[in-house]
Amino acid sequence: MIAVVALHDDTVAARASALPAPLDAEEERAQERTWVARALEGDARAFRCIVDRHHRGMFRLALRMLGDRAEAEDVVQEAFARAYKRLEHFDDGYRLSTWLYRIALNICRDHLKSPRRNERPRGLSAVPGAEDVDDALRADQRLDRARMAQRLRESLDELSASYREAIVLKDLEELSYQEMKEITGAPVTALKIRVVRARAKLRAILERELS
Amino acid sequence: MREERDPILQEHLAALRSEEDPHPPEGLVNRAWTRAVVERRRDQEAGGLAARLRRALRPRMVRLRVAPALGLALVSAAVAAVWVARTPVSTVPDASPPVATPAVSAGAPAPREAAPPKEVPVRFVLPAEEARSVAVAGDFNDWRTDELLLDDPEGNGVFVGTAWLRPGTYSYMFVVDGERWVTDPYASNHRNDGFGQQNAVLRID
Repeated sequence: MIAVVALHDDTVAARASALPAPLDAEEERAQERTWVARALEGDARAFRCIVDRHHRGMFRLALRMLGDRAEAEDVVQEAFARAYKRLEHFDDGYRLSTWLYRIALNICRDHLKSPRRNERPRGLSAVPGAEDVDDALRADQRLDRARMAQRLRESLDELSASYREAIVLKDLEELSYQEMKEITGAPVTALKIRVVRARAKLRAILERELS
Repeated sequence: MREERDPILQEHLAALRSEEDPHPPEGLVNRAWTRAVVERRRDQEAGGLAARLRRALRPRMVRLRVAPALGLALVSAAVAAVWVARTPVSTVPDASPPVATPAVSAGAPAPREAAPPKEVPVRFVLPAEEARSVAVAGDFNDWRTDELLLDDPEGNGVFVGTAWLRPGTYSYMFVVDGERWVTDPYASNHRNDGFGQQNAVLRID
């Protein structure tokens, strides 16, 4: 009955997302620790609060890594399923978002390695409805911006998986190196080197496209 | 290593950041959460049954008092002696060559000789024309999706298979192509699994 009840009773998650004043980072972590504890006790609605809070960021990460909305949704679903199954292993010394990102990133890596994926036409698809994001921009500015975004998508697609991951985490998700370390498990120095090299490679691809 | 802020690259990154739709598909929370709950529950059920089985099969220390044990041994020896005396013994050496156990093809019913007397054969049937594979997962096999695979012997999309089960009440579902859980349309009883799906219920008296 858990699913039936919760499908009609979004109040816990809705309340969490509709709080008038945003919680500070420490309050958020305390709240998440409570949700984790309750979820481990069998309260599935507590896990729903976790899904509700983090699905947007995980979807954005997966979309940036894979460039396909349907595939990104698969990743998010699988990531939360794995997370719930392994919730006992979550170390609350870390942030929950970091742990969830790590799971999602590992699934993205598997998707990128899949031979079936490489048979499909590549390139990040333009996002429908993106032109509505900022109505104040003039049409020509929007067009320029759309061209640049498309050019970058295509260039990102030419990068290796590890370089792409570095650009997505550092320059698109705008994470700190410490956060990247927690997510990828790689040392900060190695990550810095990877980011610099990835940017250089990306810049070279962009220059080729621009010329 | 020094990080460079390349204006062209930054401009492109800013364009992509501003253009990308941050909104996930509608209903993603529900779908992700429901799947997570269902998979955790299945995982726990499978884990729980496996743990119970492991506990049941774990070797245990048995303490016997010497006198009753000796008595039991004497009685066993007497019974064995009587049985040996009543059994005709052939003196002709067995000259026939060793015969290999016939191979059983995957999906075929288990040999009847091997089944314990209390188990009964249960035939599962699912018409699934488009399916590449059909398995049965239930209480009786710890909800494993790779253990009891059905065959399509006629090649007409009707998958069949037999399992030998002891008397009891079991819940089960078909698993089509390794991922789609399907309720047995021919089952006479169903049980709500609490997550909007119906398990078929099989009772063997």
